[in-house]
Amino acid sequence: MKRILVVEDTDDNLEILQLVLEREGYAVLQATDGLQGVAMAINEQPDLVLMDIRLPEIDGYEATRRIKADPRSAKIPIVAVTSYAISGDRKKCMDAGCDDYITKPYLPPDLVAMIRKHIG
Amino acid sequence: MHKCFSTFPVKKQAELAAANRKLIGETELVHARRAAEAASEAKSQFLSHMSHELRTPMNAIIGYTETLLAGYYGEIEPKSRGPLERIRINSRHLLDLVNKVLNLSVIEAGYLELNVEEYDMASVVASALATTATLAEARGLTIETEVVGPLPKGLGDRMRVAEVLINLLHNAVKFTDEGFIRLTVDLVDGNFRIRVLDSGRGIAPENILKIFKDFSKISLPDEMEAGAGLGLAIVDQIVKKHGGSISVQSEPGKGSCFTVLLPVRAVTLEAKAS
Repeated sequence: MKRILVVEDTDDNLEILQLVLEREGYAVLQATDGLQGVAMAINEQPDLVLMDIRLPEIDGYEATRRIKADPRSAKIPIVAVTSYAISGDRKKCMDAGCDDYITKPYLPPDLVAMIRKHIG
Repeated sequence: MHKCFSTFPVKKQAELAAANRKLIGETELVHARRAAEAASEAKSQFLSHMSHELRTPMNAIIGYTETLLAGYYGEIEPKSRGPLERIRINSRHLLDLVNKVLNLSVIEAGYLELNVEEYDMASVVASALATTATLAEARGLTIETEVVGPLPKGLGDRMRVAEVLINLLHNAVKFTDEGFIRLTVDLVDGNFRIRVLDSGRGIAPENILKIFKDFSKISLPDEMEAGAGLGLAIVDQIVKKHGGSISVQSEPGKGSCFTVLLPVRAVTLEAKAS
């Protein structure tokens, strides 16, 4: 079973993501702030990370940079899932090292399609 | 008086005065520019923050509605399905408006930056159709397409060009109750000519000029909903940014034809200025 690390601090979003991902047959790991997200990416070696951007401790940009800078987790694909959705926000995420970017609100099938693109 | 004292210093004084004026002018310019940059940065941050604040609750509303309807929380009572569908439709509509308002605010604040790259117009047409097809089908309409080719590779912002097509097609679908919608793309004098023709309600002559006015001055004809006006204002800005133009011919009750002339190689405003 493929494992997805969800780094997200809002309960509603966590619940929805968990529901959708588990229904698709993925195991879900949760981190609720940026630092925890980095630690779990390195220690748990998930197949993919869904990264919120506005997070406590360190934000999603910084968490992404740290995950990509560590040789143990550098290869894990990271998809930014964020409400930052105006011109230039996508570029900021990609510049930080994210492999893909989807804006909230997303439709569950679109999110699933994006995940499949990276890890099948 | 010594010669040097009378002529040379006077000239020097004048030079100094001129240099001073220049310096003061430059300082004022620098200040003005800094103030403008600070204001622009504040506006950008405000928009970014606003986008985030509006989207966060919408994500919960849309996420829960979609998962409820998809049966993730168990079977839905038949009586509840209708109202849930209404929530779904209205929340998507609200999201569409939020997106357009934010998009246009960003564009009007001067942040429309084209991500210029080579693109294949036929594939842009295909992706725009894929996005619009469901809405058209739901209204019992089909979108006829004709790409008169082969077309050369375009140079411009692929996503923004697709946005132009999607907005025009959306409007055509919204305002056509029966009949047809036809999208034609051909090549005219170094421009892609994009035409969206529909057999819809049409626009009264007195309203045609109003529909492209920018958002702050918008005064929409009664029959047009806000989303459509916002969409057209966005289209107008994107087309202009590529160095193109848009026009419309319409007759109430018979339909409308929107024509976009988009330079195959985008002539951006910056390029024109320099």
